[in-house]
Amino acid sequence: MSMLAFEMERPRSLAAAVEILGKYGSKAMIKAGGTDVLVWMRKHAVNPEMLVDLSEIPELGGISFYPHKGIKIGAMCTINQVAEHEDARRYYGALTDACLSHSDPLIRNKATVLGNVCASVPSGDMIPAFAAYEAVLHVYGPEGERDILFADFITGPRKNVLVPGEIVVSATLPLPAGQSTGCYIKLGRRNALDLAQVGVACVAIEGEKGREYQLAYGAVAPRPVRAAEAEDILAGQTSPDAPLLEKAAKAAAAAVNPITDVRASREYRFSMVEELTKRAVSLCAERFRGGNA
Amino acid sequence: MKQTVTRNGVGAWTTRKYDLEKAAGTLAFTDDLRFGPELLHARAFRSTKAHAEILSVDVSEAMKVKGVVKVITGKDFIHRFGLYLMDRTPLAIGKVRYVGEPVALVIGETEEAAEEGMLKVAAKYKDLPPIFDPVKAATDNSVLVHPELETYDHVPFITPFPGTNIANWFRIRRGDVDKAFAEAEHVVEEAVNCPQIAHGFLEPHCCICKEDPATGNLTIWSSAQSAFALREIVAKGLDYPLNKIHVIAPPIGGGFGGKAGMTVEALCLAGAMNPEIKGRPVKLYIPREEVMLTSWVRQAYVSKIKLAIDKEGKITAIKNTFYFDTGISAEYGANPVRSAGYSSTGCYYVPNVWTDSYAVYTNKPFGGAYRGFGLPELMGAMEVVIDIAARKIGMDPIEFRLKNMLKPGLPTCTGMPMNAHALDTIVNKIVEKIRLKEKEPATRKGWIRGKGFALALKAPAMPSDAASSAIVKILGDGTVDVLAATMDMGQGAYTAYAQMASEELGIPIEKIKCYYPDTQSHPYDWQTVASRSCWSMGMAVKRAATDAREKLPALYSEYWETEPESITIEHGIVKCKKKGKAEPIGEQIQSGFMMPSGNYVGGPVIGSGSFVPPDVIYPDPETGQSPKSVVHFTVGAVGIDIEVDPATGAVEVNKVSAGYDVGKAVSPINVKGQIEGGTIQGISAGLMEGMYYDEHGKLLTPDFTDYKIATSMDVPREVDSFWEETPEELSPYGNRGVGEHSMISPAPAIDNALFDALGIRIHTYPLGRERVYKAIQAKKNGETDLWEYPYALEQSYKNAIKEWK
Amino acid sequence: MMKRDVHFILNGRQTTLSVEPRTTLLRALREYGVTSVKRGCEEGECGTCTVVVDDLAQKSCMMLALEAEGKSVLTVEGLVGPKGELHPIQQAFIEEGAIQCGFCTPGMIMTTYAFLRKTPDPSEDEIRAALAGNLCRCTGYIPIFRAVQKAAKTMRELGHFPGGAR
Repeated sequence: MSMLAFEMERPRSLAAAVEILGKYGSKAMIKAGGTDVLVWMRKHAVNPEMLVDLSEIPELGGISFYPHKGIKIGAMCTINQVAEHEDARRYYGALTDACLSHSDPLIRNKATVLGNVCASVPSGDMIPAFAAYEAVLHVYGPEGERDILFADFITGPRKNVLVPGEIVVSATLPLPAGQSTGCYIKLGRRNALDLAQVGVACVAIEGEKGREYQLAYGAVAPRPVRAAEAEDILAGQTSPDAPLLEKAAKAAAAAVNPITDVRASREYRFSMVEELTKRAVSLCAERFRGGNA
Repeated sequence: MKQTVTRNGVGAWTTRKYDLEKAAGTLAFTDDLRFGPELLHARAFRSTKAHAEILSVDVSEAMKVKGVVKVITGKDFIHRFGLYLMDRTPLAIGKVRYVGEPVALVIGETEEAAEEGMLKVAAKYKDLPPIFDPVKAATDNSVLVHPELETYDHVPFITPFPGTNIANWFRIRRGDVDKAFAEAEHVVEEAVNCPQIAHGFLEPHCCICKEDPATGNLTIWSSAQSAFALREIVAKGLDYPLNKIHVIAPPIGGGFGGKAGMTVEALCLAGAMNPEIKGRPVKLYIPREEVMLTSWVRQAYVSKIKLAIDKEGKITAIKNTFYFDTGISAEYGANPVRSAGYSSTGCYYVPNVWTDSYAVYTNKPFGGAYRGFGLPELMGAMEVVIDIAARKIGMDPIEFRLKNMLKPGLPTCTGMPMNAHALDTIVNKIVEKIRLKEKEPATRKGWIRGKGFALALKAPAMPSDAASSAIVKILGDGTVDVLAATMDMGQGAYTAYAQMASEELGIPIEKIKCYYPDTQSHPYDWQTVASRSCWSMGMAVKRAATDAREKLPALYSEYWETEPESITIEHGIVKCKKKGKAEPIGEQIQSGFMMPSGNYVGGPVIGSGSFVPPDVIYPDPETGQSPKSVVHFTVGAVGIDIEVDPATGAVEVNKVSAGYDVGKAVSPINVKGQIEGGTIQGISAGLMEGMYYDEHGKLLTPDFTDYKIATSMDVPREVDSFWEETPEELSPYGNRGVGEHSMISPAPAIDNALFDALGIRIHTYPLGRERVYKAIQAKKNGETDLWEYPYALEQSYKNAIKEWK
Repeated sequence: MMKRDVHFILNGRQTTLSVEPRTTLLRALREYGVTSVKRGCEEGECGTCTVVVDDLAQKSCMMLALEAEGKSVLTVEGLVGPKGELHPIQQAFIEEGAIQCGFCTPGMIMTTYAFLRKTPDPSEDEIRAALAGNLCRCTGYIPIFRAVQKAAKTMRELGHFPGGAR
């Protein structure tokens, strides 16, 4: 299969990128790492006339961490860059776990964290972590800058609230208010390079009101899901016992709405949401005890 | 008498031929060949319907695309092809029979132009009812995939049934099965099923065809396993003389049966032979997403096996019904069905046998050759049923197997005596290596450990007249060319042949070269399939090398004025110790020797060798009996130690041990490679591989995104491979085939290990995480067996699927 | 579409190719004659097209050729010395029987090359994880793991890693 012809610009500034996007409107597409877009174009799922490659815009690179603000990830940061970033590993376990579970070590040299988020595919590995850490996306567009709460960002499979011409420049994952641990657990059909059948991100925080949990799910609903009821059940528990975990797991399953497809059945996904919830919560508790917080 | 000395002859551990080029990246595969700007590119436009009449194909918009040269449809190229049964046309004619069938071929100046043209072709269809379930297709003739079956030519040992969907029916009838069942102490009847699986070779099919407009001569460069079979199939389909077709087979990136016979070449020829193409070369590269739609896959199967067992635990009768889902073509797929049929008592001696093995047409991509060729299908069921039977009668499954083993000399199901083997030794070694009789705790917290075992056997499944020939040339500097038209697709055939030539000629392996197949330079070989090459072509190579060698003593004895018996060849040096002579082989070997009398004698030294199995007789079509139905069986076994995560159904393999009786390891590095590689391929197939369709027959797993094969992360911690060497009587060095065998039994061994771990029997492959999880849940609900029917699932897919609005 | 020039260093030599925007680095390299870079799936799943771009292993089907502008691209041809000497990784693959059909081999070797530069003394688990993006259907990976270990050892002995990990 071959891609259909398109033009490509590699602007060197955000303003130039937005201008090109404005000119081509819906006929333009943005490329960051390109590992999704190139596959879609090859399969003719998308056929843009203009591909705007963001990789030459200097301000889109870089990861910065400030304890009061959190971690800020530029649009062109690759998944491996984030996975290897010391502060990310220390403070954002759910995100770095997600990075290491994504595709394979080679693709991770190309694919970007924000590209995975912007593709907005339900099985996107970064998405549950972004939901659990309550990320904020910084967007630049024809109308200037705006911030979008991640909770409001994805509207359905491959759909989000970006309007034509807008570019996600970076994202901030606020530092959880208190000591925290996090993890991401994913189930696929084999041990590497697979799309998630179910992905669970869990962040455990020792906050002012005691232990809190933030649980988010991928591949089990058209939009990322936070399991608020399960979080409430677990709140305050530093080492939840089996019955409580079971209760939280059931509440999490009630929050999701998976489909049956060739990768897994709806029923299996429900069961795995329960199982992975228990594992993720236990793993976070364990990491706390192990001093990894 | 052989008077040669070499360090790297038969049995030596050597590095492999062509690995240097492969590591350096210089070996050119078909897609790497260059043809200049004359080259055109072809792209198939494919059916979106599983079964429909073609009302019209509109190519007008496609022809308007810049760079599109021609669009060809079925009516432009009406030729039928097939290895055993001529039921295949490269382009659909009048009707489409599966989703993905080529309907038109777009030829463009570039790959991109052909692609754009393909997107503009439009076809109109009138739906016909499709059939996907092979059991239904075999037993209910309401939908006929090939109503014209009667008119298709076929080889005599295939028995199609016109008016049905049965493309081949192979039978065994021996003894009195009914009586044995009536008298049996125990009767066990079980069924096992498995979906189609794909070869997963990494090099997609690629082919370039060119017709010389002046002579009509055809040249075909193709990623083909079997240059000569390809030439023959094309010649028969086109009614062409053989020597007007020149097939060049560059190195191929994995075959596993998927590039055997003829695959994509006729489709490419439909382009290259079109008069409007005017002799330009046409290239057909099959994109990964279409590989499974263009060439064959392993057939799906539903196997029912019924055993009669007496008080002592001896199997007294077997009744087998095998439905092989051969998709829309049985041109190749008819034969694995036969292969499973004539091996249908597995590794066991059973006096009374009744077997029906059917190749059944359905509206799916077609089945054909795949590593193991009917035997992974047979043994995938047989070894599970044997395990069930042993446990049901309260016998240890290993003891039950040993008790009923097809020992050397006992008749196989076709009545031929089993060849010599050391299967009992292999079984005992694996019992030790895997500690099969010990229960061990899981090494992972909360997981459950289980161990399983399965036997394997396979004969080269080929026509009785599958012949080979080879030429060995000694060149003017003592180097050697071996022309043997086997495709070395990684199995290491050329290393083995070089070792054989070195053994026979006393010339070091470094000086010996084998060449990739070319029908213009190489002598005939039937096919590179069936684990036959080291044996059949091995016979030819050995004979050719011997033939060449035997010319040397005569020449040198006259040259040195001594007796032929005093001449030896040691490491490429010709010696006569008696006369104190020692000379490296030099120019005179090709230009002739100036004899003491001053005249020249000799000329280029060339040896040739031919071989055809001398004693194989086709089984009787009514009873399946034959004094010698196959050349030999290679036997072996697999033991496996697994752990299951009961909460997710995930399976990890701690250790696998696989051993085979190879007769003689001609090239040990390659024997080891074949066992290790096939074992992992078998584990991969058993744990995760299956082709799935939606209710309209559209393949949902066309590429590596959804057709998963094992990665480096899925490999067991420990893989133990070994072999025994009980020599085969009629064989170049006592060796038997082993290329396919390692693929046969890992899957049933895992199934048996899962039963050991979980106490529930899974009757459906693959043993993926979700299915294992389901079995664990079923066990909690008191079930003893999990049996999922992929075809029923397929039918109910529409009901099962839940989409996000 | 108009072709555009892309300039990059290919196996140590400054190279200019003329490509369409849609041309992947994989197709551009192959068109140019660097055919060790194989196309096995063109969708990032198989790893047969792996090259090393500025020290990172990349699947060249996942990169447009124009993205290589100003970068350094290394293919398996570039590992062979001026007199045809093989790189220790290539040598180890041959010696350990880590090659069968050879179609995955160039990509597998390039992944190993980038990996060993970062991880000169890898554990078996690290090797398994590092190769997860490169499929091999023939060998079952076992001899490949052995070859990577062996290559790492040779490279350490030959001083391929001055100053440790780099």
